[in-house]
Amino acid sequence: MLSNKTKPLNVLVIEDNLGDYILLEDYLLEKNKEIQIEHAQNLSQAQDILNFKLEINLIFLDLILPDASGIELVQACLKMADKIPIIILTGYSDLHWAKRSLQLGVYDFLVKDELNPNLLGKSMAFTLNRHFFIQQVERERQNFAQLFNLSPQPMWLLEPQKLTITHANQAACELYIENSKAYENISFLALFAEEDRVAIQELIQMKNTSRGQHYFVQPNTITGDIQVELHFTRVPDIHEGEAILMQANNVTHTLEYIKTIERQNEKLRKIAWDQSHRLRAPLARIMSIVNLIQAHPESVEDLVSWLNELKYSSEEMDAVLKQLVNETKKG
Amino acid sequence: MESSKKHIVIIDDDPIYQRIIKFLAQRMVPDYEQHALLNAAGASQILKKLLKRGEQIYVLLDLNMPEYDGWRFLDLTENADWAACSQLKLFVVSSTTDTREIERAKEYALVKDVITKPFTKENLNYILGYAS
Repeated sequence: MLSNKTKPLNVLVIEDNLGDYILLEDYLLEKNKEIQIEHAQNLSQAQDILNFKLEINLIFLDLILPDASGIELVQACLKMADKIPIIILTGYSDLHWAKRSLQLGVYDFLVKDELNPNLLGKSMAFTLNRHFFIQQVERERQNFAQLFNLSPQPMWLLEPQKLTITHANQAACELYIENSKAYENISFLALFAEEDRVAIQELIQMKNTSRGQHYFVQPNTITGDIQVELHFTRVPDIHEGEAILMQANNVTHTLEYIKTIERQNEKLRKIAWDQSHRLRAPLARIMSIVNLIQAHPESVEDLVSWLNELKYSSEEMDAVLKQLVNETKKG
Repeated sequence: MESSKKHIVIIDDDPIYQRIIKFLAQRMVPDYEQHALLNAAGASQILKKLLKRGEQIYVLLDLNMPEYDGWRFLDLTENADWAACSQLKLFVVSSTTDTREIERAKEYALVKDVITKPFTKENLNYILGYAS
């Protein structure tokens, strides 16, 4: 960010003491010739500048101004600055305010009597770098929030003890309840058939650690009951300490496909069984005749008629096989 | 001394098997009298008649036949007084490979053994040499 040579740094200095301002301006220019400096003597001027000049990168704020001072001033300025980082300029007498304002979101404070170009440059560099990383983290947080909200898979955030739904993403709202308001303060378990609730609770509390498949029924008046597979993980939560991120995978169709395939398998097994039975009769006959001819080659006086029997039996086998193919084609 | 006649009774709806077994028996035991039945309906009458004479009988019974099949014959004969004698040796001869069917057939006390087709001269040897 600091190495960005194409865009000069824009700073706003809110300072009513002209001597202090000029000193700061000198130090700033000494460190960075390209720097653009805006000067406001009070809070309302600062507001005007922020309104019209869009790209302020950093604000220096004196703690005592004609129209406001102290913590009140810091709070007003933080609000006005939105996400622009603020460094406070203070005298020794106001150090307590300066320290408190760090907790409110100010990046740093500088004591005017100790100010020098090096100290100023270092504070600015730290501030801008930290700001850059905070923005990046915030962007990532937003990305993850979007990932949650826009995922086509229904997802919920649950409070880990009572399993109350604290957030539901769009897919969950569309699928289960018409708007997310209806989700507020209801238990996740309430989405499921009563007989499944204990099992879900045990699954979440890890009482049931068996790795079997967990399908649960969600009564649904719009689409008909659906069967889901649940996946969840515990995630840190700023407010609650820990939350449960829950995903539901709709396996209704998959289970239907499996059932259909199993039915077909059963049918094919039956056909195969029936036909192999019918196939076995002529086959055994052929084997018997061949065996007989081999055992008594000298005394088979009627070879032609045995051959006819063989032919007849092989034709029967052929007919059974054709029927087998036809029956399996029926699907 | 065994001076009395011996009999082979073939109960099978398949004429080719009748012919095969007949062929084999004629060469192995030409002095045995052969009886061919295409189903089990008249079997008990013939068996009763032969048993009265005290003669040795080997029965080769197919299971799956139209109308009066082997199962029905076994059910009706299993506990019949006339069938409980050592001269009668009954073997099931079937093309089935269904282990459930084979086990079921072996459960009948009357059935000495189950022979799975194809039928060979070794099978006939085994049947005719069956002791006890």
